[in-house]
Formats: sequence, structure tokens, C-alpha cells
Amino acid sequence: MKENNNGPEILLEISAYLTGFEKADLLGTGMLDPYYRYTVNQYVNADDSSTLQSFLMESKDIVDTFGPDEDAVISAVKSRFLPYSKFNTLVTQIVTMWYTGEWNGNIISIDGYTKGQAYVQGLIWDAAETHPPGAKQPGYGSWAKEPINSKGNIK
Amino acid sequence: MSNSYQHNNNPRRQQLNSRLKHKQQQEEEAKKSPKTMLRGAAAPATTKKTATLEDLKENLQTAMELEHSTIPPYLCALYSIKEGKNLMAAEIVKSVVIEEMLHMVMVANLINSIGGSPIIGKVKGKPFIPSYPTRLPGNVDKDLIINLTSLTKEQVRVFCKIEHPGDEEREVKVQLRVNSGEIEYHSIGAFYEAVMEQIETLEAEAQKKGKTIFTGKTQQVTPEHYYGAGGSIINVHSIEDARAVIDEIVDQGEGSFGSIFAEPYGEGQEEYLWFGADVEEYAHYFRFKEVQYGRFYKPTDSAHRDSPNGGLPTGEEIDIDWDDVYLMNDNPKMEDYPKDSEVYQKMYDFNKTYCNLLDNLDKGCNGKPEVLREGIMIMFDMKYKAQELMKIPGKNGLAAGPSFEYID
Amino acid sequence: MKEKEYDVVIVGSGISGAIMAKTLTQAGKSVLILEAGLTAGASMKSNGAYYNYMTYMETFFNASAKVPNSPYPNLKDAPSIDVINIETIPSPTEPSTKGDYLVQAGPLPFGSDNWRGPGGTTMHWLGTTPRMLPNDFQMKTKYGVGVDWPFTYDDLKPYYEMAELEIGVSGSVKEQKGPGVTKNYYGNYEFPMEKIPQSYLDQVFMKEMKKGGDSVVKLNGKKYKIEFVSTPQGRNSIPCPEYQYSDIKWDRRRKKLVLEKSTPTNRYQQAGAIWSPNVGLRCEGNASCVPICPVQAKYNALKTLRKAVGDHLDIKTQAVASKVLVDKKGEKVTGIEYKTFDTGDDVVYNTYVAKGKIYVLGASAIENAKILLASGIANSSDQVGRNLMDHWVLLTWGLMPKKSYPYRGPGSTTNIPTFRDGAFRKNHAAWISPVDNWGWAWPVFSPGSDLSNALSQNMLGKELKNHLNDVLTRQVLLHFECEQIPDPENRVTIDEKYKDPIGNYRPIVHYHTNEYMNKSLEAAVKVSDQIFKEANIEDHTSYSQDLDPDYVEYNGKGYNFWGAGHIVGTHRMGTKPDNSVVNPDQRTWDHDNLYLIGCGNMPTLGTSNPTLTMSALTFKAAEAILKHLDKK
Repeated sequence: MKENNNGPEILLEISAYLTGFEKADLLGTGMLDPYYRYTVNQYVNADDSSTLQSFLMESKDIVDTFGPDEDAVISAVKSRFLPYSKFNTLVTQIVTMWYTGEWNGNIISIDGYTKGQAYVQGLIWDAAETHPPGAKQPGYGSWAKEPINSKGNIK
Repeated sequence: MSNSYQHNNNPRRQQLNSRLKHKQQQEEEAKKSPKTMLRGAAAPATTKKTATLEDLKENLQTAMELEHSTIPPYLCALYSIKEGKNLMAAEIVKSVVIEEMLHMVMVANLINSIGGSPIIGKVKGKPFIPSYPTRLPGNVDKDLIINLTSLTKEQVRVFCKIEHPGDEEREVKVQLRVNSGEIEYHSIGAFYEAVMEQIETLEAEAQKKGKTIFTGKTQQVTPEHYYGAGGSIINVHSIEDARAVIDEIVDQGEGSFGSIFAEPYGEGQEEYLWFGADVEEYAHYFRFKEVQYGRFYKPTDSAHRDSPNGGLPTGEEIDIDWDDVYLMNDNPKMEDYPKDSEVYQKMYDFNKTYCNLLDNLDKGCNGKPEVLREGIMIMFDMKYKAQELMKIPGKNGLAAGPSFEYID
Repeated sequence: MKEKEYDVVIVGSGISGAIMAKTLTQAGKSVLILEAGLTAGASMKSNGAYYNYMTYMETFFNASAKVPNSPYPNLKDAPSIDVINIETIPSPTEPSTKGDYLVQAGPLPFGSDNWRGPGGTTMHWLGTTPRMLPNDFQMKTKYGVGVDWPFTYDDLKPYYEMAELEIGVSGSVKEQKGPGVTKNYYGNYEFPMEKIPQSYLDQVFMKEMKKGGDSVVKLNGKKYKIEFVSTPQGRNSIPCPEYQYSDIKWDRRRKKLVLEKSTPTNRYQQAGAIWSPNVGLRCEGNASCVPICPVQAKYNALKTLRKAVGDHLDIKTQAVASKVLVDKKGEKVTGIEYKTFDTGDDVVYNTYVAKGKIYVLGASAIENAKILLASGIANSSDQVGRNLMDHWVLLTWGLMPKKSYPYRGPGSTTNIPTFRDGAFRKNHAAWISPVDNWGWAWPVFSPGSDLSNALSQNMLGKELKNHLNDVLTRQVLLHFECEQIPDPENRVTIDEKYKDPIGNYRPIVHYHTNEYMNKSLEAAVKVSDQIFKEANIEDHTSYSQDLDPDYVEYNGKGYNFWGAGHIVGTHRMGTKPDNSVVNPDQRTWDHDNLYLIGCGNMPTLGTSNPTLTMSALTFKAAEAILKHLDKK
């Protein structure tokens, strides 16, 4: 695929809308670059770079046209991506990647990054106002109180 | 089953203490005979004024600030390590930080024991959190500038210097307040010894009148509230307890081993074999040396720098990859970013959490130790916020980093 | 080269083997442990232990299905039973052989697993440690079902206290209540550590119940008051200042194991991580007790093993016990044949024999039975392998009316003891009901499934995040852990047809339901419905064969149950050689110098998680062995 210099930036922008988390939350996971590389690889390996390429171009257009209005961006995503199974799959893959660190049911593993970080950085635990089991432990007795990490709380 | 080295009756520990005393005697002698005089040891204690109890309280407050000032740089180093990487280095740095906090809390106990009130967080007039880059509070080692930055080889070298101000090549002074005047000491260890002397003098005076300076009624922090450090927290109700606190602090960290720089090494000297299998906790300085050189000390390693191993660790290798560290901006500030930016918000959240922690410690060390339970949770939360900032890009293509600034 | 002869050869370094090894070596005996798992896992050196444990952590993080054995090595040469392989049994003539170890003949699949490695299954256990109730020891006398134990609760009580010290139990004695818990149940006693705080979820549940009414449920015309109590558990909290003991010692003169009284200079100290005594002194709320506690605040058997006296203990790792050898008369055990391997997966091995005065099998209930069957010994009663039991965990799940913040803290911190005992046990099983702190993870793989469900409904962005937040913070899961009653046809067998790669037998499990168990599932759902109604919990429970292969239909309704990981029975203890495999000392009736330890000895299961009881039994067995050795 043609290297898209803005690839990671576009992935970040659209991912923030798709996941409902802030860009800084996504950056704070440290996973943007590895996830971008991983996604590219998956599509290169599947000989389907054009799907990802079009998705990124289309995403940029949607964000440029409708951002920062979240509702407008999401409804554009729904009408321009979801009806087409390839894009629908990609949207699901991207959201799942951020939320659980999985790609088609497996924890994403990337060269040069600690194995399992994808799991540890999963945003679903923030959405649940908790932490991934086995990591980011909140300390003795924390479970007896309301959580102090409220990143996932409904605003 | 208990682990013997956690207790003060550990022979190793006593050995350290006796070494400390041995060194004091030498200093006394040094004062008498100028040719063996330690550099920097000339100034102190020649004009002995009597310190007041208020002086002592203030000196202890300084001690606490000194202990605290090292915590943000150590934490930056710790949190900059990529998750799951450099595991052993992370464990080592973590163990040091936990003990620095232990020291701070024990000094707070000491302040409480003499009827004072430790102040953590908001100090009238001067900031409790130093503005980094900074020198150590108490005017310790004027040449040593401490930055908030990631774990780098250079930063570990600075850590070694922080933990070893007794190095003869550098000018090291600690100011001790006596009756509005200030006296300088050449190492943190000497500073603590002088504090101990003040305690002893004041207590002796009080005893003469059938009284004691250990009149504090405030509930102190106990091992139930502070755990996980090498060495257990000590409650202070007597001169012996006070001595135990100071021994513990000096043992674990600063300045108990000036002799390895000051005295010549004799072949086969066993008194510098400090790293036996029975010693799991040795001083911070040596733990940082292990990180710096990527090796553990082994039992046959001597601590003396003129020994065959040069005082350096030659044991099992510690796998350290200096690239598996997030690089942050040195000494970041919130004001580096626009107020409406997400980065600013993240930095603000971090600082808010840090200040909550200090407030919690303040409460915990002022009669409400039970709140420290919550402090543990805040500490963990702070860690995860800092780790986010180690990954969020800031200026110069480096991570934004935690700034450790005071927020009301 | 002549092999060294030890006082005692133990098979397995799990909790029973570790307690045995520690007790015997501290009393001055020489001990060899044969451990099938990898050498790295048994490292007691601080760096080695730490690095090894961190590889477990990494494996766990990277596992797509975070099942109990997911962090730990599964070796071709010594495979472990794994719940990941559970499937519907293909047909009565075609067992399930998935996973290349346990053969499941059915008709129902056995739902639990264990781990064959250093520390054994305590590496992944949850750590819940209630004692059995007095009536649990007399099921035949009181309720006409199962069998009685050869001794009473009171006989076992001092050993329970030893087990609680060894494991390091946190709990509140004064809060314990429910049927059978009288004043004398614990007596004048405190646990080593204060209770683990009950979760926010527990508190919401209790408050909602109170709001809902009188907390009374009806079952078969009888009323029961639902009570909630904090659960004693083997994870570190704050040491209890009133705790009376400091250690367990062999009193040579009185020929007894005794609890040493605590003194100001020798107080109880909880055990931290094996790599550092300063780590894991409190539970840190990792919420991953099963399968792995990252800081080892949860007890595991390596902590006990570490206390064994090093000079007296040899641990031979990567050594799989395959056969117990006996003399020509078939009476005296002469050695244990074991196979060693280099990497665990190379299927190349060497065979050796370990020699001792006394032999102890502590390799887990299924493995012990398998080894005995493979050796053709200890089975004059024909009870070896029979009476395999587990708790049948019926799960019910729903949504709390308000946020209760699950997925935090230890797996369970509160239980409902109401149905642990009662006259109903004549007709159906008793159960304990732990309140689960980890959402719907167990039955329906939340939170991942909630995400995929939401995505399939095209939820995205804030709507998605808010939906997940709304659902995941309100999930509640209740267990009904039903006491399976001993049944000789629920059993472990072996067959030449099924061998593992190094020629050891693969255990075959035959497992079925009966009227007694079916009735329990039905009763549990009736009670659950009433509890959910009282607590305003929106029920989302739904059972099917697809959800879980342990599915039974009864009176026109379907029920799922899950294995509790409580593998019990298989070499029961009893009063006579013709009704049991071991005597009350846990010595085999047939062989003077062969002892069996572990959950396999338990004649019945009760409603408590069996590890504590089994540990108490192991102290009792250790005492018997020390007496036995001192006689010589």
C-alpha cells in the first residue's frame, strides 16, 4: 500500500470518534503506532490494502467535513461505512482493537512491544470504570469504595 | 515465619550502625588532626550553640522535605520504564521510592513524638514541592542539579550522587538550624547525626528537670498503615525509638558509608563485603549502582572503590535496555501547553492527584493514619496517570511527562 | 550409582505436598519431592522466581481465553487437564479426547481442571477458605445420603487452625453465621488477618435486599432468611493483633503437631511474594486471583515450599511419577518409578526409581487415582477412582438497579450461607452462594461479549461507551455451589488405549447426573429468582447446551452448571478396608508405608471450597507420618 504519512494521525482522529474516548486517552495507551502498523500489516497480508487506504481517506473526509460534531461524524460513519461489509468489519476491528486489544479474537502482539500490552491497555476496562484484571491494580481495599478512576464515566 | 533481615536485630544492620559510629569517631579525630581531615568537615559543630525544640522541629521538617524532594525524580524514572520491560530495574527503583516515602513518614512520626506537626504539601512561605530543576532542600550539595526526566544512564548517575553526597570530590553541605543561625554539614548522614545530637541534648536537658521532649500525643503511623518497604515503620516515644528511626534512614539511604571513599583499602578486607546472601536490603546508592552497571552485587564484591572490583557490582547480569524507556521532556510544566488542550488537562489531572496524595499524607501524618489506606489507592491512580503522560506526545517530539506541580 | 534413600518421598509440590514437605523437614526428616512441572517454576531464588513468575504474567496477558491454566506451561510430557477443552461428549461410545490428556467418557463432561506444576493448582485457585460444617461430616447419619467421615468436625478443628495459619487466612470470626455456625464452631479464635473488605458490589447488593423487604425466601413451603457474610480467604490483609499463634511445630515429646503461641517478639507474619518478602503484603485488588495474582498476595503453595528446610529437602522437577512399586507380596511399597524429561515437549524421557521409607502421593485427586490404578495397588476396596466429586456451580446473572462497579477486587468477598445446611439435604444438595465480584465474565465472557453485542447493533462513539459503562458497571453474578454427593459411578479409570506422549496413562472420567443433583439445580433457581426479585436485579440468566456443555433438563426446564475446580473423592478415607482406600491417618489400608494426601481423601464434599479442609487433613497426615517414622 502507498505509505500514507498521515495514517496514524487519521487513525487517531477517527478512532477517537469511533470509541468515544478522547485522543489523549488513546495516545495515553501508547498503542497508536503499533496499532497502526498492525492494521496496515493485516490488510497488506490479506492483499487488501485498498480497503484500508480508502477507509483512511474517507475517514479524513468525514472528520474534515463533520468534525468536531461527534454526532455528525458518527452518523456519517454509519451511512458511509457500515452498509459495506468490508468497512463494517474494519470499523468493528478498530473499535475492538482499542477496547480489548484483540484482532479477530486474538490479543494483538507486535514486535518490539511488550507482549500483552494490547490487553493491558484495553479501554473497555476504563469504560467499565475499572482496570484490566491482573494489571493497573488500584490498591488494597479499593474495591470496597466507588472507583476513583472515572475516565469511563458517562459525562 | 519472619524474615530476619526485616528486623533491627539483624547483625548485618548492627554492623552498619557500628560502622557509622566508627566513622563518627574518625571524624572527631579528624577534627583534632588536620592532615587526615575530611573535606567539608571543617565547618561544623565548632561553635556549639544550643538548639531549641522549635529549631529541632524545623530541622526535622527540612529533613522531611529533603526526603520528599527525591521522590518526583525517582518516580519519573520509574514510570518512564515501558510497561513489562526492564523489570528488575523497575523493581529496584520502586524499592528505593517506597523507602524514601517510608523515611518521610518516619520523620513525620519523629516530629509528632516531640509535639510538632509535620507539614506535607502546603508549607507557608516556601513550596513543599520543589520547582524542578532544583537543588536538594537544606542546601545539600550545591553543584547537584536535579531534573525531572526519564530513566537514563545519566539520570541514574545523578541518583547515585543524591544517595551519596559524601563523595569527597564534591562540596556537600547540609544546613542545620540552631537558634536562628545555620550550621552546615557535609553529608545527609552527618546532618541526621547532628539532628540526633540535638535530640539527645534536648532530651537530657528535659530529663534533668524530670521531663521529656517526647510528649507528642498525636497518633503516629504504624506498620499497619505503611507496609511493603524494606524495614518496618517505627513509632517514636523515646530517645531509643528516635535513634532507631535515624539509624534506619541513614542505613537505607544516605551517607553511612563515607569510609569507602575516605579510607584506604587493604587487601582482603572483609569489612566491606556488604552484599551477602543474607542482606536483601542494602543502601540505595548501591542499588542504583546496580542499575547503572546492569549487574547485581555478589557476596564477594567489596563496596570499597579501591577493591579489586572497584566497589562496583560484578554479579548476575540485570537485563537493562535503555531504549525500553519512554523519553519525556525534562522538567515539564503545565504552562508549556495551552489550557484548553487535552495534554494540559491530563497534566492537570495528574498534578491534582499528586496533590491529593500529599494532602492525604499530611492528614495521615497528623493523627489520622487510617486515611493512608486511601493514600495507597491515590498512589496507584497517580502512577497510571503518570504512565499515560509518558506516552502522550508533548513538545520536542518527546512525551509530555508528569510535572509534579502544586495545585490548590 | 545407588539412589539416596529418603525418609519420605512425596509426589507433587502442590499445597498438600508442600505442607507435608515443610512439616516433615522442619521436624528433621529428609524428603524428596517429585514434581512433574518445569524446574523454573520451583525456583526459590529471588531473581529466578521473579523472572519466572513474570513469564507467567506475560503469558496470561497474551492469552485470548484467560482460563485458569492460561498463565502456566502445559507440557506434552506432563499435560494438565484444562477447562478450555470441555465439550459436549460426542456419543456414549465415543469419548471426548480434546486436549490430549483428560478423556471424557461422559455422559456429562467433568467441568474442572487443575495444574501440574510447581505450586500445583494453588497457583490459580481463588483462595476461598470456609471450613466444613459439623453436619457435613455426618451426612449418612443426619440425612441418609453419602457417607459419614471417620471423625468429626471437632476432631479436625485443631488442624483447621494450622491450615488457616499456613495459608494465611483473612476473615472475621464474629461475622461468620448461618446454619451450623454455633459459638463453638470457631470458639475463642481470630483469623491471622482481618477480613478482606467486602466489595462495593456486595454492599449495594445487601442494601438493595434490605430495601426489597424481609430477605425471606420460600423453598418447598419452608421459609429461609437470606444472610450475607464476609468470606474467609487465603489472601493477605492487615495482620490481626489478637491472633494467638505464630507457627506450627512438631512436639517430639507429645508426638503432636502444635500451634505455637504468639509472643511479642515472635508474632505471626504474613508471607509475601516468593521473590520478595516486601511484595504482596496486602491484596492490591488486581481482580485476577484466578488465574494469577501478580503480587502473590494470594496464597500459593510455593510460599509453604519456601519454608521447608532446604538441607532436608530435594525437589526433583521434570519428574513424572508413573508407577508405585511394591514388593513381591504386594504389601510394602519399594519405590516410585518416575520419568524425567529435558524440555517438557520433546517426548524423550528416562526412567528412574525414587526410594524412601515412606511414600506419599499428593498429585491431585485424579492423578493420585490414576497412578494407583496404573500400579494396580491399594485397591482391595475397589474404591480407587470412584466417588469423584465437584461443586456444581449454577450461575445466575442480572443487572443491578444502580452502579455496583463489578470487575474489581478478589473474585468474591461475600457469601450467602443460608442453604449450607438443613433438613432439605435428604432430598437435594446444600449449597453456598458466593456473590461474584467479576461481572458476567464466567458464564458469558463479559466484557468482551458486551462489546461485540453492542457493535453488532451498530453502536459507536459516545453511545457505545456510555452503553458499556451502563451495563458493565451494573452486572451481578451469583453462584449456587451445590454439594455433589458421592456416587461410585462418577469415577476415574484408565485404559491401554489412552496414553500420554511419554507412555503414562491418560485419566478417563465417567460423569453423570442424578435426581439428587437435578433437584438441587431446580431449587437453586427458585431461590435465585426470589433473591433477584427482592434486590431489584433484572434477571438476564439463560441456559442452553450452547452456553455450556454441562446442561441437564429436569421437570421440563434446562439448567447449566459449571465446574468449581474442586476435584474431590477418588480415594476416600473411611473406617474399614472394605469401604475405603485410606484410614483416618490417610494411610492406605493395603500398604503400610503408602499415604495418600489431597482432596481425594475426602469422603464427602460439604459446601466449602475443599482446599482448607484438605490442608487440615494434610497436617493430620503429616503428624501421623512423623509418629510412624519415630516408631522405627
